[in-house]
Amino acid sequence: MKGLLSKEFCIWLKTRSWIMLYVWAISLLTSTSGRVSISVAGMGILIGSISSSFLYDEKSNWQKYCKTLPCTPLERVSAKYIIHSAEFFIAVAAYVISNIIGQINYYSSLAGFFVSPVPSQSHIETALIIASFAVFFAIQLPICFKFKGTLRTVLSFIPLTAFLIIYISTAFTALNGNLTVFSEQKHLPALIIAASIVILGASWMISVIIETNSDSVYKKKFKKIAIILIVIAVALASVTAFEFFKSEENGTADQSGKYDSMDSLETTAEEIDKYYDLFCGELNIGTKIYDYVLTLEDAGYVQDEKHTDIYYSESGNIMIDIGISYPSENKIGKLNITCKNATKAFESATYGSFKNIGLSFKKGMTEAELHEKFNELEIIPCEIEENTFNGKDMMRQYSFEFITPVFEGEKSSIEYTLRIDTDGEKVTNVTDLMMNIRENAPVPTDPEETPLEIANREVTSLLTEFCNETNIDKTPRKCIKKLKDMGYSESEEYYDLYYSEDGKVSVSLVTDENDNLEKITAVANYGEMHYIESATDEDLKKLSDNFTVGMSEDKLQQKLVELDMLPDVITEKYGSDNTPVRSYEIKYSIGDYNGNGSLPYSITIDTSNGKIVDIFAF
Amino acid sequence: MNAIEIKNLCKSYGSFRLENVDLTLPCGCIMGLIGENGAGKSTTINLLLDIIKKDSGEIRVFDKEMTADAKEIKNDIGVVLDEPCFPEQLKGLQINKIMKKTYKNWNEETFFSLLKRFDIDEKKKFKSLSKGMKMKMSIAVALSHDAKLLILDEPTSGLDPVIRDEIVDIFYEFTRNPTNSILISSHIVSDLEKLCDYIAFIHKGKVILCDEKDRLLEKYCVIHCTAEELSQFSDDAVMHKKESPYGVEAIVERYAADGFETNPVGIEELFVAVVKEAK
Repeated sequence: MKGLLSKEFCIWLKTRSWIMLYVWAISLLTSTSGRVSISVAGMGILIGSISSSFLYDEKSNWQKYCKTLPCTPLERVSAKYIIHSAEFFIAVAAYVISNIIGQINYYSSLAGFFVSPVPSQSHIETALIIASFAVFFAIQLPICFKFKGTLRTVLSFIPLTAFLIIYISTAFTALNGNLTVFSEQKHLPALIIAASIVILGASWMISVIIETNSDSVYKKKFKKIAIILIVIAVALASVTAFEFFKSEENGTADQSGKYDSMDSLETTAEEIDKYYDLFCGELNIGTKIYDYVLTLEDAGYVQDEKHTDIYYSESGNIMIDIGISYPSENKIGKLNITCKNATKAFESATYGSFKNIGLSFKKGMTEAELHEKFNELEIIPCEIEENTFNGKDMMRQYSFEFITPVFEGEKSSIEYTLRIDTDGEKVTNVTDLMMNIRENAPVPTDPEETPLEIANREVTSLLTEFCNETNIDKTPRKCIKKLKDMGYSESEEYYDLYYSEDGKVSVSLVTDENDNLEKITAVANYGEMHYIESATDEDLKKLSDNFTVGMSEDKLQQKLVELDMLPDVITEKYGSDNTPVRSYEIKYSIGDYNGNGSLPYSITIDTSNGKIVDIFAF
Repeated sequence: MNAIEIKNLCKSYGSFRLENVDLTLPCGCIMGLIGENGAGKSTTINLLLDIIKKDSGEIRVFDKEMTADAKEIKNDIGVVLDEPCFPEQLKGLQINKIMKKTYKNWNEETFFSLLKRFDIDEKKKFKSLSKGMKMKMSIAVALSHDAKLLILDEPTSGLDPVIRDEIVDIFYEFTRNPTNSILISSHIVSDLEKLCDYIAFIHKGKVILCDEKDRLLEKYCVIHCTAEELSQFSDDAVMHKKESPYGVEAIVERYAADGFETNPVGIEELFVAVVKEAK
């Protein structure tokens, strides 16, 4: 067989080595994407061109001559399999290396060395791509041995190769990022590769049987072994498919980080105070991620095990989500700091008392003065967001949320939101909103329906009629038309704010300077918050356990309706990787939490490409 | 021991059928397989070399069953096919490397000395050689691994007379070793006449005549006579006749030709006669 291998290698070097150069060159050049790259197309061309080696043999009459040499059919088949398998695996290596380079580049803020291993979804993607090509390879070779290098054989693989390239590229682009549901199934890549190897083994056996033209010992023995291998391959493939569908159905456990403890407000206050000192002197977006993360780690922050762009404070009460900026991926593009325990409950309050809080802050106040005031009033922002608004203005926004059990004239708690915008140095804007109150509310169409029933109806219809597809990628006009078709009408006071027929849902559209939709926010006016009389940690966890990452959005919406967990806010915007993300926020007021008094609690469920990608519970 | 023993070999290809072919080539001898185009020469050789599967019959080479011990046997067989058979991109140097790893007894020195003798540049690609050079390259490979048996399927087909003569001389040299045997198929009878000890005629898948060349040439002769005179010969004694206004030219068995002026018969004439009679 050495002679045959030597011949195959010589021919490969002279006729097909250029394809390998192409695959490597393209893989390395496109490696910054870190995802399925054009190397997939290169691998497809490589596999599809295998039949050309048979064409060369037939054209030179080598196919007939090599049967006169002292070699067995087993050796002739094995030589082809070895050389083409080596070719294939070198191409796979190019794809894997380009992926790794992509990951290194993605985390280049950490000085170009691995911070974490390649995320699990890349292993799955890699395994699936290898498996797809291995199956194609396994099918192609026996056909080549049967029909040799005829033009018919060669031409038949052109459409198959094209189909394979298109299928794999589009399928994996669609799946891109949605394979986190399988990240718990660590054995899946190994299972997939094992099935591919077994299929290749069966293919080899079949080729030997085809190549053997006499009634030799190979035919009988190999037939049995080939059948056994095919059975094993089918079994492995079935187990793999079963594991996939099981994962898709059940998803995996909530991925919301390990810090679930509810430490005291004091701890959070200390930690946020420290954060102000470290980071709120100037805006952080546009600065290097590496420097920011180093400082975080020095301050005791810890990276989440599953989401490498999320950090938690020591107590776990502060979560920081770092978004990268494109095209240079080592700078901060967006920051989102969320604090647990932040919503302040007031035993009793008036609208005026809320307003006083807002009046404490004025435009032109420095950040340092702002933080002093926060400490004085003993308020903690529930969210600090740094982002680029309208495509050009960089801003930091402190959001505060307050609730009260009783508000004058009302029987249920009301949520009050205060937002303070700064440019990193001074306050530029202060806004406050009262939730659940709207002036000039229309009269309900069905007087027998209670306000809550109306709100539930309108939110349910929003879920089914508006949230049935992605809206952020539509033009504003299309979005507005869709709302109008649902009976929404434009607010008389605010531009791009629409109210449902009975006024219980408001939808605001935010566009950028090019009139593309940037954010869609739908807010429900139930008139009261979802209220739980008393609850423990476990009771609260059970609420979010009804949903799992990987669950389809349709199922999520059905469950929200079934469990009476209709969202208070639904937001659609673009995530850090520019894919549309829809967030469902369900807010609760807990009357007596572990015997410790009232507590606000919210569950935020993020979806993308029709599936749940994240669940946060605070 | 016989180099080749074929008994009752049968193979069907649609309308063509190789029927009950029996051939025996003793060691140290040369057998020529003569037949017109499509007679079954190449099919016989392909079956002999286990390139195609036989329907029935037995093939033994060096007293070993071919299908069972093919790999072992093929180390001692040198093969030259009717068409050039190396990949176009390969050079002599690369062919040497490949064959060195293929044959147990590959002799590099012999190979390169043959290339030199044939005036073939070892660094030239196979595709850039002329047809005659390509055939010589194939022969060089066949002769460079201490083969005991050469199987040649129309090796001189399409070559000019000078090269054909050269190649026949090379085969002649090969047979100087008394243990070496050759099975050569061709429809160029003149080449075989010079070289062969045994001749087998194949026509439409059947071996119609197989005997020692000298015995065949001794057995038959050509006479010129009248039709009346020829009618006195028994049917068995007359192999073939050609009538013309000037008389009859007939190929007859020598024993029956007493009293007539006889001329020696050539293998080619014999072959044509046998084929015409078979028709």
